[in-house]
Amino acid sequence: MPTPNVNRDPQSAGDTVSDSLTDVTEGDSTTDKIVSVLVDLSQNKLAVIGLLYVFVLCVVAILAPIVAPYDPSAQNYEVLNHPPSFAHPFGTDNFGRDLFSRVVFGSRYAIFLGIVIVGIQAVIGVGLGLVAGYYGGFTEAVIMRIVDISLSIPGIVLALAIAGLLGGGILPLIIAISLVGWRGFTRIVRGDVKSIMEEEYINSAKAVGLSDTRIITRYILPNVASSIIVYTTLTLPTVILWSAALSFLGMGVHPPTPEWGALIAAGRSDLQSAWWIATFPGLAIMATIIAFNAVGDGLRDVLDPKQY
Amino acid sequence: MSKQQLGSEREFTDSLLTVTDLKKYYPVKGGILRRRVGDVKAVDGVSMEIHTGETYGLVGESGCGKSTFGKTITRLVESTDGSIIFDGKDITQLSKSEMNALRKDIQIIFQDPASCLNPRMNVRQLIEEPMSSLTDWSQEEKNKRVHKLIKDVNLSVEHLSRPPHEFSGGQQQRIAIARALSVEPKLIVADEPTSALDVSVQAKILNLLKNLQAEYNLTYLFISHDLSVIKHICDRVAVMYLGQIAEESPTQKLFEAPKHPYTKALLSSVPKIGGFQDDRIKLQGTVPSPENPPSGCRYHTRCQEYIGEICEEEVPKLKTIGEDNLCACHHY
Amino acid sequence: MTLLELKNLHVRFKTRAETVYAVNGVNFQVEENQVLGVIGESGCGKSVTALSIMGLLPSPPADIHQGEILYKGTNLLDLSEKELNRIRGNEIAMIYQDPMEALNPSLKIGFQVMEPLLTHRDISKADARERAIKILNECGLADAERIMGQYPHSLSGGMQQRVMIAMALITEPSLLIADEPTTALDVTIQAQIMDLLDNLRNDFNTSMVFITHDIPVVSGISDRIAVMYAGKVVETATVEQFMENQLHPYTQSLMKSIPKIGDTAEELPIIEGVVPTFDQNPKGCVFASRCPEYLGPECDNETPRLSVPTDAAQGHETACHIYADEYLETVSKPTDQTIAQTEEK
Repeated sequence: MPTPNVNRDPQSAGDTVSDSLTDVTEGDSTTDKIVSVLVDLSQNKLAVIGLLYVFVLCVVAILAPIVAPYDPSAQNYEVLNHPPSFAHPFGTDNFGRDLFSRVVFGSRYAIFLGIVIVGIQAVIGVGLGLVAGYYGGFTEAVIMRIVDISLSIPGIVLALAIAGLLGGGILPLIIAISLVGWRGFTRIVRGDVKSIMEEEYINSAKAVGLSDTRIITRYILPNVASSIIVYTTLTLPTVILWSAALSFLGMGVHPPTPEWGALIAAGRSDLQSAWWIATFPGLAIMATIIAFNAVGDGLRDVLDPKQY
Repeated sequence: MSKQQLGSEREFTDSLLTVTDLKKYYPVKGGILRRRVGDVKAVDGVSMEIHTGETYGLVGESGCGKSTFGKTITRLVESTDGSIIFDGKDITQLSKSEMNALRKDIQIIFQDPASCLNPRMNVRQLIEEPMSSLTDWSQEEKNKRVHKLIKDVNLSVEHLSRPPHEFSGGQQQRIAIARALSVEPKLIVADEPTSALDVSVQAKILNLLKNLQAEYNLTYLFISHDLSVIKHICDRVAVMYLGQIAEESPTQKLFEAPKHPYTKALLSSVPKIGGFQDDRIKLQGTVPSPENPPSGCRYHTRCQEYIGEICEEEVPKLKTIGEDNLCACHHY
Repeated sequence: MTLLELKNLHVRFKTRAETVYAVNGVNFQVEENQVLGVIGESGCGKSVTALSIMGLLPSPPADIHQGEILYKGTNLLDLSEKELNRIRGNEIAMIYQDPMEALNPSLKIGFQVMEPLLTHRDISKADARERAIKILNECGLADAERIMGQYPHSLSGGMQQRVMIAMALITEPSLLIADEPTTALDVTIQAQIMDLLDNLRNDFNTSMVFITHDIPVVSGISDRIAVMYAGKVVETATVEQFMENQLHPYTQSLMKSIPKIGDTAEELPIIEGVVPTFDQNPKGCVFASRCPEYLGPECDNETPRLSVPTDAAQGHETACHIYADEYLETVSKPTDQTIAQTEEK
């Protein structure tokens, strides 16, 4: 790096630009920020593989009708319980349905449910976390006690109970897991907000007469954004897993919906004779979870290595 | 307007800020029920009068309450008691929206420049924000001012699109100064603005503050623990100890003929080139806790000119000695 | 014998993103029973130098790629961790700006102060305890016995500093490295700690490397002074020589920009520009870009070496081209030839 370009003429002291920047990063638009994060992320091989998988998964989900060779609900009595073959790479089930197509269509549910549920969790959780952290006092105490109490019940059990009470199905599944999963967001956001409140720039905002809402949206939220992003990527696999679990236990989607958990449930009884029916959906879930975790870990290292 | 001379050849008479008996207590909670068991008396009865156009220094060591004082008079922290009259109005009585209208006239610069600028905003946004919040100037007007301000603090227009972390400490402080100046305040409270900076950078910032004062008609409350900085830039100085003012005097007089024993000890502790002077007053012990300040004169536990029981029993009042020197000590 | 000698020390930091050359050829000596004050502003590499003497730089990313650190003739960089551990805390000790860098918040003070003694000497716990109380007393802590049983957080900053000093001095080290020990303290406490250090070093005959950016503070305690800038030593002298006359343009500018109590100047003189950082071994003079006495291309290309200029007092060295013989008469006229600093003595 060359030494700074400084006007050597002592006469102009104070008139010209006296300090120069040591590190010039061009632009600060959102696109550029995303690009720089991706570039940093690319150093982490595991995260890159994870990201590729997620990308492929999304493409598959969107283009499911094109990717899948067969209609997922088409029954073909000539190929009942066939093992994996060239015509049916994942084999067929006891109705003669092509498993590969079913898994492919199942990816739609995984992605859809994942996004919707995490989205709802984030909105509730982040909102409560911001309020608790910023206002403190009684409000914070109340919110955090709710979080603590609900955390004493294992999440999956609670979700199961709620879904069961509502009679099972996709909507109850979404409601159940959303209601249970916002707690993590609140904990993290509130902790972050508390440490940001210590920073002098909050005082600076108050000195300039900004309203509470404005301080929260402009000063606090952008600075907790990286934690939220990381936590989202790490929560997604849990949500997918839970959706699968609830469907597996019969509290989620109804048959013949090809959701991965439901597929495993259907193939459970035939594990000895037709192992492929349960195994491939299971592998799909596993791969997806690992991929999201890898991306989440990588993002965390890139965005804020000091955190948790 | 000519540059201010040290020792105040110019007379500042109009009162801009009058503080009377200001107190700020922080409750200490203890016990199982977390009841209030006592108070940390951060600011305990401080009165002062700052005149338009002057640079008023407030000096003291850590824990003396000077930062709390600065935050209290800008109502970033609510006072416990006392009045603060700014430009004729008692600002302790104002509602939030009324206070906001006044915020245009009182601005504050903090010590650590890195943590007082929102890292998610760029320089332009940082400088523009006070204007958007406290005035109704048009966008065109604001742009014009941003461009003028950035040059006034010796940075350039190219810097406007960058986030604060790309700048050095000295540059960040300049951005903070531009931000404070943007609404053309009457009073700027500078809370240790150069303490976190290197000596050579400190010089630049002090020069900048002095030059801007002339151009923008500013009055400064300059809070610091660094006596040499205070000497260089202030017209009058008040010395604070454990939440109270020990002495107030024009700068030159304070340094040449300090009256209060604490001021004398403080001045002799300042290291000079070549080491300490031989007749240095060696203070024993540490500053007592503001939660449990000594009775009577707060300084009596360490005072090198301790008289007797009166120092322990009676709180000395701030009296006028000579024509412009205030001192709170039983010697006078 | 020279107690400590740093010869051409170079330290760089290699991270994934970049490499930073923090120390670029540092030379200085400390004799027995001598205090060397190292002055420099932030970014000049003084802390990195101190940590490398103690072997406390994590490497990676730190890489001491050149130079020697000679303690009583032995190069510390050649020693194994085990051998270094016998010297650290025993013969060479260090105190820091933040006492909590040395104090473990979950251990009692008594244990921490006794620990260096128990590690390096064959001594009973009872004797060690007695020594610890004694040294805490000597460090100005009147209530030493009670303090032994307390935890660091119950003490004020000034007291923590004293405990840290006690911990460092309990083994009566030959060399104490003090990295900005009073920077975070109030003026009155700073004065007390400086007194303490002065008395202790006289009692124990300890040499010191006292690192700070505060020139008035260091001038009271040092015998010799070294000034650092951008990873290099630009001037060394005895403290009297230094106070009377500064040779290097950086040092001169630095002295001028300090607001002094006796000053009545209107504006403080400033140094234009910022301290450079390097991503490779710097060529030429590191101060060239900001130097008011800049001569021309030789300042950019030739690295000036530390030596005593012709008219200067013995022992007062500086690394600057303006003192090369050819320039002494014609300060503002650069010549065409490349001039190297001539060695004196």
